[in-house]
Amino acid sequence: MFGSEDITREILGNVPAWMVVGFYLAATIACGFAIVGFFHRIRRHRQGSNTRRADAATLAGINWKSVLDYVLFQAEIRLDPFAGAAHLLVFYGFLVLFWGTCLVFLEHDTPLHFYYGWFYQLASLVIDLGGLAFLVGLGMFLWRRHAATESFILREWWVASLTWLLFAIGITGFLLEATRIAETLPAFERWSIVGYSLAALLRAVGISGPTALAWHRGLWLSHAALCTAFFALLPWQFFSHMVFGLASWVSRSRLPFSQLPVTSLDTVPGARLWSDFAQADLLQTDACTTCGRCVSVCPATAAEKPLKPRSVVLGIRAALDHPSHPFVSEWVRDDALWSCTTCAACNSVCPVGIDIYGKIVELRRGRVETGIVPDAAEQLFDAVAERSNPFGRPNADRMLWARGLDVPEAAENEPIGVLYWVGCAGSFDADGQSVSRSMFKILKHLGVNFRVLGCRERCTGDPARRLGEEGLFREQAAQNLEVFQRHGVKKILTHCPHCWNTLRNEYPQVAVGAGQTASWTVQHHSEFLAEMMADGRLRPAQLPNETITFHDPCYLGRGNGVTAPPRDLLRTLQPLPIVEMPRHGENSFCCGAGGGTMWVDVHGKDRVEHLRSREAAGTGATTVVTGCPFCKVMLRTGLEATSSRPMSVRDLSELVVLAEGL
Amino acid sequence: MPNVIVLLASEEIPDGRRSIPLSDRATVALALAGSRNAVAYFSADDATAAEFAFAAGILQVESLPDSAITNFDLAMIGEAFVARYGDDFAGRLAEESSAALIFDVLSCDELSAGVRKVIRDAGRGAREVIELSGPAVLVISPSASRPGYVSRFRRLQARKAMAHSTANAAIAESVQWQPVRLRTRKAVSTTSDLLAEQRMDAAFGVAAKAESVTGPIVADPATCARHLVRYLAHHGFLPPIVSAIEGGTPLRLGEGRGSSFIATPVEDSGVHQPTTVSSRPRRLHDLPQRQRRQPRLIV
Repeated sequence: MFGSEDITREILGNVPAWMVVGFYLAATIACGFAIVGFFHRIRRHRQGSNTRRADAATLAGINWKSVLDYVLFQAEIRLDPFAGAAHLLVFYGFLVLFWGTCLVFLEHDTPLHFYYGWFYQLASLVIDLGGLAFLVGLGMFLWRRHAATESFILREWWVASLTWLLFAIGITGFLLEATRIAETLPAFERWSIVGYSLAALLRAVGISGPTALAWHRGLWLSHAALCTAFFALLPWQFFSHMVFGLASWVSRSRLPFSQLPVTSLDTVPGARLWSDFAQADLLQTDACTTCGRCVSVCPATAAEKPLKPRSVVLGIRAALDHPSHPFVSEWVRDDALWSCTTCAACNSVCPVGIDIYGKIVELRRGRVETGIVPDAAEQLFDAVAERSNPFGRPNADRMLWARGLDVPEAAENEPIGVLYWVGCAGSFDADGQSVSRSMFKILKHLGVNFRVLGCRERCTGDPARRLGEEGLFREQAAQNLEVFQRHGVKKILTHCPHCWNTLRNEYPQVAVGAGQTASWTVQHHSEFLAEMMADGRLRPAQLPNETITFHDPCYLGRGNGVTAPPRDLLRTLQPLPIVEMPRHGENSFCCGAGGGTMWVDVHGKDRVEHLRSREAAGTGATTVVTGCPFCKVMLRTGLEATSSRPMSVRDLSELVVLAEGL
Repeated sequence: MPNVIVLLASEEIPDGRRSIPLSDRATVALALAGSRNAVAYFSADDATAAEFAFAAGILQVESLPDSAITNFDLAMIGEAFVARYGDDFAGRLAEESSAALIFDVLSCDELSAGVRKVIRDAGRGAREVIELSGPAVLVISPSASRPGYVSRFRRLQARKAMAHSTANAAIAESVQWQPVRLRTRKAVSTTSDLLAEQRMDAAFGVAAKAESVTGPIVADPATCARHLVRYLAHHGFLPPIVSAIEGGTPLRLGEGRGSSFIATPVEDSGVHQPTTVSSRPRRLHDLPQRQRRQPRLIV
């Protein structure tokens, strides 16, 4: 059927029976060891908390087409082009080699007979190409591991040794083929392009005939031993991502990156032991490939603070692996945890969908419940609890920004159609107050019937929540929800992405948990202003001579996918195209204020806001525009410290006021 | 372990909220460092202080008694408490207890049994080290070390636990019961035909058809546990309805089983005198010589 039966090879002809039996035995033991290893890991995962995330995937909810895309086309992995290319080569090369091994097994150990003629030659070509791809991909990874200078690469010996193991399997496989062919160098073996070439080389140095067969036996034993070791090591270290990586990606959170799920407060919040984490979180620690993408995008790492997101994940895994040291605090430093700005860049780039940001917040909660927090965090918690704002100012000062303006404050129990939520930065910080005044002018100009809550507005609890004080967040939420209910609020407009994210994504969950309904909508002012512009209700004159770059706030852009409305607005406001920073949109770089780090400042060799300011200044723009009062103050202070030329920092609303002449 | 008491208070801040100032937090921290059995006192209307102390780890939290507090080795007072009750409170407390009085305390460490090293802030960066023995009243400086952060979740749990204990205490208070104190019997009869149950009742002072008591109580664990639970429920330390360990018969707080009786105190004559008893809660007027005390809120 496949042509001449002479065009084939003898399978295991040169291998004594005892070696074959020994290999099958060893392989069986190794596979058994691997199966036991996987069961052991899964059993450890199941020792975690059985708290089910509200967003956790169910079998019925899985999009199997996207799973197929993920496995076959690996788009998540190809976010890093070099690593993506290398991984594709290794992945498909490995699949082809495995297919080739299966063909040999079927031909040798079953009644099937097909491995001859043109099929044999074609298969030989494909297998050789697969092997070549496999080695090229591994070579790329080893080059990056040993020779490249990227700081996010984990250069631990055990990571490199596993890569070298795979490389050795590939090399011995080709040498095995070459020594087999080198015995007689038949012409039909030219289709094994790599093996034939190597065989010719071996014959040229005198390795042929019985010598080649002797080498072949030795290489066969080495190759078999290496493959057996590979099977046995599958459940361990980063090899386990081959199994757990897909499971992690399939079960990953579907929530917006900036949203934290609301969990029950029936038990003490937070994680101290590894077993305090949810089972899905523990599975994710075994899915980690140690690729370091999270490290490469982390603003705290870039500022050389103690945090490396990968270390948090591997620290939890280490606690799981060491029963005598089960506390995660023994493996993850406190100052690393407090360095996190909760920008969620790590989550957005992880190729296996690990929720690193969520784990950091869980660990922070554990520290809070243990009482071990930085002084600045304690001061923030006290300020929010006692004065309803993280700035520690008297709550009675909340309306100082409105002095001289006729800002309509809601009367007691007055129904509110549109609530303008000023937020704490907008009330107490000078940069934020300017934004509040601008928004008031715009709303008044548009004739919007809105109200503010005045001193009845209390901090949403966002900075406390991100720092791990879940109880305080719930208290704040309960108070604000009660006010919303009393006023029958229909729509909330805010200029602060942190308040927007909390009110829009997290308060409804708290309300539902308290038996209430969340009947309001929440709109960020960038969306509102773009809408007004599109409707023609705002017709600002264009701003001359302004080259603008836009800084995407993390909680707006990456956190919730809102990147277009600010740009639509800016394109209308000024004739020149927006000069984008290298890291913009959903890949924006944090300003350094999120996660409570506006107040809890862990020192690094550099500062996050300085890094971002340099990036903004590097565009050559005259103005940096943003849509967050915290980003505004951080960029302003960063530019003052780093930029030699003047650059102004403005909020979107301030530009609109300027353009409208309000 | 030294007998440590803590006196702390909260202070009012704008918006009608209350806050525990640094000194009073530090007071709690020092007390916990000195003794796991510290008792915290607070003003009856200061739930914030009580809640904080309980959440921070002080398990015995009581409102300030009307009578003088004299039974302590160390009394640690926060500045908010001093602000509320006046500067001379600490002085009177020290005088009534014949205790040393030290202000602006930064730390207190035990050197050996009954001997302590106290460091106080002498102002302008100076520190004074004092070695003392005997009881002491220490007014804690705001600069002293504070306890770890006490989370809102822990305070919420403390609030719930205290509300539960307060409810039980309120029930106990409403029937004018006195808490029964275990009495050490000076002499016991060598013969007794009382059942173990009756002797247990007598031992706890809840009920006994006491004629004589022989030696330590010996009974099966279930019986001992049942009566211990009954005794605790009878005096409000457990929820109002307590199911009997045997038989599943629910007991209501204050109810006895069997015939009605009250216990009477053992006369301190060295010889046990059998008395007639009836089953009802002890009434205050029956025992005019007893000092009225609040049940301790023990959780």
